[in-house]
Amino acid sequence: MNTLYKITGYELRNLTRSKWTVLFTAIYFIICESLFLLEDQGAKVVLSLFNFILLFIPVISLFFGITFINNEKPFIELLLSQPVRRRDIFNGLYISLSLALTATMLIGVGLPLAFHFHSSKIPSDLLLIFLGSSILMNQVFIGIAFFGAFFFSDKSKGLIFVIGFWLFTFILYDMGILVLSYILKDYPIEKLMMILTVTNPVDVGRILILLQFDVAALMGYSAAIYQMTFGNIFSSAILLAILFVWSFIPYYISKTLFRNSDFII
Amino acid sequence: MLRFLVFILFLVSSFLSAKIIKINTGNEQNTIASAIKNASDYDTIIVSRGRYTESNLIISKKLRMIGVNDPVIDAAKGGSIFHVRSSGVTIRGFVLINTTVSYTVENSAIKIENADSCRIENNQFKNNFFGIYLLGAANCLIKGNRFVSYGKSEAGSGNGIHLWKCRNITIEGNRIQGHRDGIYLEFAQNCLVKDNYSSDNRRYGMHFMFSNSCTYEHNTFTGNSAGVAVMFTRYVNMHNNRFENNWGTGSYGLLLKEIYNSTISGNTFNNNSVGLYSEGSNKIIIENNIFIKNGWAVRLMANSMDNVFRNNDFLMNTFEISTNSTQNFNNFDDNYWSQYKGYDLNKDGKGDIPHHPVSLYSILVEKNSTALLLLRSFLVEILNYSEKVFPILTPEKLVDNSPSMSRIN
Repeated sequence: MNTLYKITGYELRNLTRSKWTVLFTAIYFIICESLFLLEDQGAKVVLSLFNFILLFIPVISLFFGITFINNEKPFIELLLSQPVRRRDIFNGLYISLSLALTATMLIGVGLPLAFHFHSSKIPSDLLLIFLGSSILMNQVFIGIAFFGAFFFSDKSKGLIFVIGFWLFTFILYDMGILVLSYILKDYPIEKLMMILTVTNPVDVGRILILLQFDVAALMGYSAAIYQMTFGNIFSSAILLAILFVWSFIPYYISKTLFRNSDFII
Repeated sequence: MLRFLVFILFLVSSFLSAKIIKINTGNEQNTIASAIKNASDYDTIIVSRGRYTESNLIISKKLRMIGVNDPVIDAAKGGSIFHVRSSGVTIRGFVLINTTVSYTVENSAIKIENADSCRIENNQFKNNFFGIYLLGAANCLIKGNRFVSYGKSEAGSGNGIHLWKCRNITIEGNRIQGHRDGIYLEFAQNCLVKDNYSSDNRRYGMHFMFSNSCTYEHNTFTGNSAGVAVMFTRYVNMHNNRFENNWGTGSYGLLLKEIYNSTISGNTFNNNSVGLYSEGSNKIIIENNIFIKNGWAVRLMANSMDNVFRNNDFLMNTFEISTNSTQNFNNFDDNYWSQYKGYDLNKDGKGDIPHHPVSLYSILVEKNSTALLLLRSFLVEILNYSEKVFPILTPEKLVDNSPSMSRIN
């Protein structure tokens, strides 16, 4: 346990000194604050922030995450030559990166939100869903970055995997859903499509936003299923749970990979 | 001159002969029914404050029924309350409550049958099946009434104001809430519907069929489960109305079906699933309207032709125009579109490149509604953008050639 603290502490110090984390915090802060300048209705600010975060978090977590681990690889190998448990090394890395990226987001977004909380009447359930889902999204993509880094021993292959994953979740997957919905359009496929949509973390985030809007009514039958069977809060909770599962699975797989890896270079 | 004098004399004499009958709750014998029975033409019956449990009051004389200090008439015994069968009847200042739901008879607070020149003013209608029911009436005025009902289902509730085969009726300044259809017009000619507020009705805020040459203006229709429907009618004028907050699948701000030669101007369509839905409607002029924050601002089916959309503002709608055809026989010039991304180099206030208000995604959704699951996804943005740059699937001719650069209304 002691070594876990030490590794986490060391990596955190390393990360907080990085110019990148400061830059990310600044970007979050500026975006959030300027949205409040443009719009004084808190709910709308949170929703546009949600849209922005949905695009920004995966990029940061994936690319910053994988470059961070790749940079730390020599240090990891050094640690592995010492009598240190592999679990502690992995968890130390994971926790420190998660903490650092979550903190950049929470500070960058949280400060303006806390400051404007009363004046612009942000609905607290919306705020909770927003914060919960952005933290979970962060975890999902950090997990994927770890998977990419430890599954491919070649650094560039890992990077290519991460780019591919980003492209897949953002565009290709939805494209597949669109094509499938055309092929099967004569069948009652609403439920199938709904299940397929919520298997993609980016789509889960998007639907979480839509459910907070009235726009959900546009989505017709499918959104009606979400809303009527579960209610707004409950369906949001289910979607958050799906994100939680999504954040756990890559973490678990990459941890197993790390423990069984040979680290021969 | 002589004729006029005779007329004046006639008037005066009729006033002289007219009695005033007063009713109050204290006297058991003194019911409204007996007062109507004993009255003769041009009498005035004044009902003072109290609660009267009476129904099926058939008025077949030219009476003036006046309620003072909101007398309540409860139809607990069943049937309608006032059943007017004579012309020239006035009913004013009553609180009419509790006509019961029936699936065979239209129990209404006031039913007017084959009568002329009636006035229904400043009454309150609470928890009724039908509010005011006019059959074959003409030249009547329905003004300043308030209707509240609590119908649970579409089938188990009646309409606020119901017109059947009527002429020259004016419906003005009423508030209608919780009925099946707020205002219902069928086979009504030359009617004017003005300054009404119809909200939270089970079906339509206003329902309008086979009613040629009617005008409705300055009304507000909000939160009705399916908005307003206008069907099978010619020469309708719809001016300065507000269609608001009709959200849900199968919900419309204004639904047009088989409407011809009409004008829709100065209306505001705010926050509806579909602002204006048009099916088989031709030769309509739609101008100076504001479409704001709707899911679909306009859904125009392929069988709608020769319609002109001009000087409208389309603001912040998810889909501006949606259609199920690759052809277009309507005109969309000179509107303001908030999704327009063009420029105006010659500073004439009109954009230099045409605007295509139909996005690729709206076409996809029209063909396959499951695609709505991808609403606001990154993929959709990319598809729309590439289609804008090089249109293939969207109707090429559905285009605004001179989009305005700033809001018009």
